Amino acid sequence: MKIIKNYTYWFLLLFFTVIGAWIIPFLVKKITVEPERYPFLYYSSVVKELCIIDYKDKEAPVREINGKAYTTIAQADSVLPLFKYRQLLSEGRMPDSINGVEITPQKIRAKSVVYRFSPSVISTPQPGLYIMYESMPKRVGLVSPGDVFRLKDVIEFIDIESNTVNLEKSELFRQALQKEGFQFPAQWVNGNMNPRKPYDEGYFVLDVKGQLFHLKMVNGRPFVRNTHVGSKVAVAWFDMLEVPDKRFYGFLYDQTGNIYIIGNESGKYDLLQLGIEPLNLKKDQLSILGNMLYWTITVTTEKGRDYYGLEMETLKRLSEYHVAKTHDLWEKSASWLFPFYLTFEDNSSDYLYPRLHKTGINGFIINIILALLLIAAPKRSTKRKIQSGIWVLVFGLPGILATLLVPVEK
Amino acid sequence: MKQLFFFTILAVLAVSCGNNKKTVQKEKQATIDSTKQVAINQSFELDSLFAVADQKVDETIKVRGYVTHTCKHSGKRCFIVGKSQTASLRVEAKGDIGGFNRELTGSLLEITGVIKERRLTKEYLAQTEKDLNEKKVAEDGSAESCQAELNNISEMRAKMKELGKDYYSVYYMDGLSYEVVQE
Repeated sequence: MKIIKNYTYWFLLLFFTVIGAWIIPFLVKKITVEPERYPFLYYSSVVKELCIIDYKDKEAPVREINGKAYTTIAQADSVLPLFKYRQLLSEGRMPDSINGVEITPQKIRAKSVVYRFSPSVISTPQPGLYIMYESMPKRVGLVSPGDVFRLKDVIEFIDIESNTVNLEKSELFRQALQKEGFQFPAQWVNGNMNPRKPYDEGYFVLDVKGQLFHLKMVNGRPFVRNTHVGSKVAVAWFDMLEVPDKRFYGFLYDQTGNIYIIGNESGKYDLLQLGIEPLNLKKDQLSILGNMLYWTITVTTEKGRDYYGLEMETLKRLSEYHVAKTHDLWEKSASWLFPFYLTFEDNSSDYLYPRLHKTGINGFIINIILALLLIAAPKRSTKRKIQSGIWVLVFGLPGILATLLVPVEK
Repeated sequence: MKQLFFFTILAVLAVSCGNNKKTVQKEKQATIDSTKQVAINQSFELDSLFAVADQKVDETIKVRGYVTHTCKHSGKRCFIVGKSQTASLRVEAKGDIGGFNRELTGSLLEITGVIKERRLTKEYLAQTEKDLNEKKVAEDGSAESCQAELNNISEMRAKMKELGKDYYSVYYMDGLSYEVVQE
């Protein structure tokens, strides 16, 4: 048998233990994980309450959270006119007004808001290069310009074909930013580079002092405005959303997890806070389904899912509902099999790096049993048995696999 | 020899006439250009523009005013007022202006554009009044808005009578370019 030096043995042992700490839980998770199942809820403009919707439930396709059930599909559709308006229109059952507000398909579409947030939106590599469209084009449709820009310590426009900096345009924008009080370097630049949108509102940029600026190109010239939002809240993130009625620019997140919409009335940027609990920006997911009267907001956290019904105009909370998380087979088995384990991917981030997950102390019970078995096993020196035993006590299943794989010193 | 002299004189005269014509044309163009330049260089505060608007129709001028409203969806139109805020001017986005972004509301702009006039004739006002009266009868609830519009028509007629015209002028501007004025 090959004689392996001590340090080589420990290096190999550690290497295989680390690999095992990643691979073994990964395979166990593949076998045992179940998708999270939560009900779909929507705020009804008719009954003015959150309703659980499940059209597979033939007995009660729609049920209010207080328990009242609607037993037929036709009833269910009538309770949710702004959600099922296409069906109601085709059947000629669409009301012409709700709560005294005139309803037309055009108005429904104009006021519709669909939005999703995930922590991976923030924790993702930023492109560093952005496209500045003409916000007020003379012809309908956005035309891709022949340049891109970067904005960090300076702003530079780079011609795509020649790969050279357009000094004149860069200087024009730099002066516009400085004139408005922007202080370099920029912390981040957020907008929507996709030309497939109804209009362009440029970018929102956070400067080094935490002030949020609106930057776009209007009639070929730079438009820069300090929104002064940074003086009211500690800005963490901004997500642009081009809504059909241009009611707001997008969603602003502050450092404490509160969410706002940024609107513009009379030339001033104003904030309106969403009436929901603050988010954990590193872990929670959010989705919004808004119509012309109410918004339904769903927040998925580590503890379960929270649902909110908000009034559209004021975004004040009208109703809420919580569904606790149920632990699936993976979570139950992991807490016993692995006191901790490694992953390289995570739903909350697009970055790949080793992450250590702790499950609790129950896993050490298995570790103790495995360590004792190893110590009791024959054909090893006492010293080696004790060393292996301690290793398995700490690292558990990956540790015992590594001790079996790596040949011992003779 | 005499013939040669005669034709030479003729030739000189012909060239000088041609030159004169060119000179006259150049002078005319220079006059037009300088008039235009004077007109463009003339910057009006909005409040003072209305007093001379009828003389400036189809002329390119500059006007200053505060933006009170921009067309939210297309941005192809905005309204500006003067310091007195008694009257407003509609500005259409033409020329170099692709549109007016909504963030301009409240800003002071200096707009270069062409003053245009739309004349509302007596017949047009009479027809509008008739339509409003019919609407007033048909929709009881909207009596207030109808009455306000009817009052507007009465005021227009009064103005027409005062000026001795058989039409009411509505002035607007085809904007060609603008600058935001820092106050």
